[in-house]
Amino acid sequence: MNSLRKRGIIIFSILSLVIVACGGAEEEVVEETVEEVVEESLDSPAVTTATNITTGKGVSEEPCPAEIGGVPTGADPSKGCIYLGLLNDYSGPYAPAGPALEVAQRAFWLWANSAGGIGDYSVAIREGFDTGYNPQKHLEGYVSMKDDVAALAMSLGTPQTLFILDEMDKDNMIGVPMSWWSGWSYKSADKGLIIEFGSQYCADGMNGVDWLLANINPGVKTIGIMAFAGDYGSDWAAGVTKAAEANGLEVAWTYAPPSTEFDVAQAVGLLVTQPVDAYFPAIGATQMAQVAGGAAQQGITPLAMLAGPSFNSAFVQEGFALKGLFESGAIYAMGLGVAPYEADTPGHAIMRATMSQIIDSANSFLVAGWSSQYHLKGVLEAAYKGGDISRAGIRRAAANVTVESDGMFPARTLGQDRADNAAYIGIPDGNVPSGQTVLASKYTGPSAGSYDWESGPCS
Amino acid sequence: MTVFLQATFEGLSLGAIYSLVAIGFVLIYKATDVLSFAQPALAVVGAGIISGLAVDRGVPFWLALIIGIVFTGLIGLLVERTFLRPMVGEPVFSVAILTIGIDILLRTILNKWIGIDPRYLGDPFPSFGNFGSFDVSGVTLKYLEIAALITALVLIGILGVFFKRSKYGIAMRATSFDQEAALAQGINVGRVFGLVWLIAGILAGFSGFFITGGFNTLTQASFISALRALPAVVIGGLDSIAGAVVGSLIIGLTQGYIAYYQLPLESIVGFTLGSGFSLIAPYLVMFIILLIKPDGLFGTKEVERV
Repeated sequence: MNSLRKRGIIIFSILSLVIVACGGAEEEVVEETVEEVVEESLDSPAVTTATNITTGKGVSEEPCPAEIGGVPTGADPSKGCIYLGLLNDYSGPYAPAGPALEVAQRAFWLWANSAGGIGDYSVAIREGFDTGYNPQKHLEGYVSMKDDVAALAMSLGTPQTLFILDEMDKDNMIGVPMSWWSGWSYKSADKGLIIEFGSQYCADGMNGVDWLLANINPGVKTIGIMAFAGDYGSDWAAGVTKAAEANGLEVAWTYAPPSTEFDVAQAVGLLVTQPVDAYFPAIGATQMAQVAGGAAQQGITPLAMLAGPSFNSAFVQEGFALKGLFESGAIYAMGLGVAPYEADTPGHAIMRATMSQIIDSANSFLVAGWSSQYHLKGVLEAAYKGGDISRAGIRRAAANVTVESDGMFPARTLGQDRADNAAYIGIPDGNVPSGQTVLASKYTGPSAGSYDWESGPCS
Repeated sequence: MTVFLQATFEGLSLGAIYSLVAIGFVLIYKATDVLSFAQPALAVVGAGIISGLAVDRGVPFWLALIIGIVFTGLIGLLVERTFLRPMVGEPVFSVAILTIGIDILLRTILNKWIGIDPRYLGDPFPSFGNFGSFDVSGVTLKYLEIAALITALVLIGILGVFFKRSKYGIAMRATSFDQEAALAQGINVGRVFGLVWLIAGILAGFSGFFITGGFNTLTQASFISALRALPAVVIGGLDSIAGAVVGSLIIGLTQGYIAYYQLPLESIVGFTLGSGFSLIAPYLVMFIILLIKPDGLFGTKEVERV
C-alpha cells in the first residue's frame, strides 16, 4: 500500500481523535468581521403612557405563522408578531435536551398567545439554529438571525452566551439563557442583557450542602466534588466549596475536568481510594449513572447531592438496574432551576395543561424550557406598556422590572445586581413521572442566606 | 496491591471491549485499504436494536441480544453493498470520508430514537451479586466486564481459526494481501468485502452491547467510547489483528492505571497533569509509539522505492 496514503490516514485519524478528545473547535479564532448598523439607541426616549407603539427589528405588523417547529403558535391572525430567536443545541453534548427545551418554549408562547399575547402582538419563536454547543457556531447563528428577531428566547450554554454578549450589547438584544450561571444576575457580567430565571448553580451548591447537613446527616465531615469545568460545574463547585468552608467540612477532592474529558473510571477510583461522607456531582446524567453504579459495585454508596443536570428520570424507571440505588435514600437531587413537572404551582398547572396536548413526557428539560419564558414575557409586557417594543425599548424595560411566573419562581426584580438563592431539592422517586419528589421548595440554607449576593458572580 | 489488581482488571476489560471495535477497523482496512469511521455508529446502532427489542418490545434479553448483533452485522453488509461497493477504485480518502457520512447518517437516525433520556439494554448483569459485581480478596470483579473479556477471547479465537482453516478466511487473507492476484485466482473479492463488513458489524454489535450494557446506558454520546478504539488500532498497526488486540489492551490498561493512580501520585509529587489526563493519555501513548514505530507495533513495515 502507498506509504504516503497510509500516513495521510494516520494523520487524519489522529487529528479527528484529538478534536473529539479535546472537545471540538471551541477555541477557534473569530475572523469574521460583522458590519453592524445599530439603528436603535438606548438614548431614545421611553414612552410611558403609550398611544403609539414604537417597533423595530423582529417586530412585524403581519400575523405570526400558525405553526413553527411543529408546534402551533396560537397566534391571533388579527395581531402583529414579535419574533424571538433560538440558539439551541441539536448536535452537541446537549442535543438530548435541546428539542425538549424548544418544544416547551414554543408551548409556552402557544399558551401566552392564546391568553392574549403582548398587547396587539402575538409572539413566535423562529426556527432554531443548531450551535452544536460551540461558541463560534453560536456567534454564526446569532449573526444570521439578529436582524429578524426582537429578543432571544434561548441562548443555550454559559460560555456560548458570553461569547456573543458584546454583539448582543451592540444590538440591544436581550436574551434568555439556558444556563443557570450566577453571573447572569449581575450587570458587570451580563451587561443587563440576560433575563435570568430560576435558582443558580452556586446557590444550589450551597443549599445542597446545608440541606444535606440539616436534614439527612449532620455527621458529614468530608466531601468530594465532581463537576464539568468551564461550564455549570464551576459555579456549582464554587457554591459547594463556599458552603463546605462555612460548615467546617473538608473537601477531600475536587474532580473537575471539562465535560469532554470526564473519565468515569477516574471518578469511581476517587470514591474508592479516597472515600468521603458525601459527594456533590454536577456532571451529565450518563456519567452519573456510571459513577454511582461503579462505586456501588465496589460497596461505596456515600450520600450524594446531584446538581440538576446530573439527574434523569430514567434512573428510577422500572427495570433500570440502579433504580434501587437511586431510591435508596442515599441520593438526592436539586431541581433544574425550578421545581419538577408535578409541582403544585399555578404555573406548573398551566404548563401541564398545555404540554399534555403536545408531548407525553414529564422531563425536567420541559419544565426548564417552559419556565424560562415567563420572565421574558414580563419584560415584553413592560416594554409594550412603555410603548416601545424596539430592541432598545425592550432592553430598557428589562433593566428594572419585577417579573413573576405564576408561582414557578419567587417574584424577581430584574437588573438589581443580586442573584436569587432559593433552591428546589428532591429525592429520586419512580412513582412520579418526573422521577423526583420535592422535599424542599424555595429553600435557602444558612450559607446561601448569609452569603453576600451583591458581591458578584461566584465563578 | 488491591488497587493495582482492580485497575488491571478494569483496564483489561476496557481493552477487551476496545479490541472488538479495533478488530473490525483492521479487518476492513486490511481488505479494502479503507479506515472505516462508521464502526462506532454500528456499535451504538447494535445497542439501540437490543434496547428497542428487550426494553421497548419485551423480547427476552438473550434473544434480543442475538437479533441485535446479527442485525448489526447485516447493516454492515448493507452499508458495503449500497454505499461502498460503487466506490471501489476510488481514492481511499474519498471512501474514508464516505464512511464518516455513513457514521453521521446512522447516528442521526439512532439519536432521533434515543431522544432525551438515557436508555438501558435490559440485560441481567447488574442484577447479579452486588449491582453486578462480586468480591475476590478485595478486588471487585464485574460480571459484565468478565463477560466482555471472555467474549473478546472467544471471538478472537474463532476469527483466528476462521482465517487459517476456512475457505472464506483464506480468501480474505489473500484479498488483503493482493486484490488483483486474488481476483486472478478466482476469488470473489466483492463477496469478501461484504463478508468483512458483516464480521465487522457483528463485532461492533458485541462491543456496542458491552459499552452500553449494565448501567452504562445508551445515549447520544455513547459512540465516543467506541471511537476510543481508534488509537488502539494505530498503536497496534493498521493491518494487524494481533496488533489491534495488543493496542487495545495498552489503551485499556493505560486508562485503568491512570484512573486509579494519577491523583494519589499527584498528591505525593505535588504536580498535576490535569483532571482529564486519563482520557488524553492513550493518545499520548499513541504519539510516543508512532514516533518510535511509525507503522505501529505490529504493522507491516513499508519499503518504498524511489
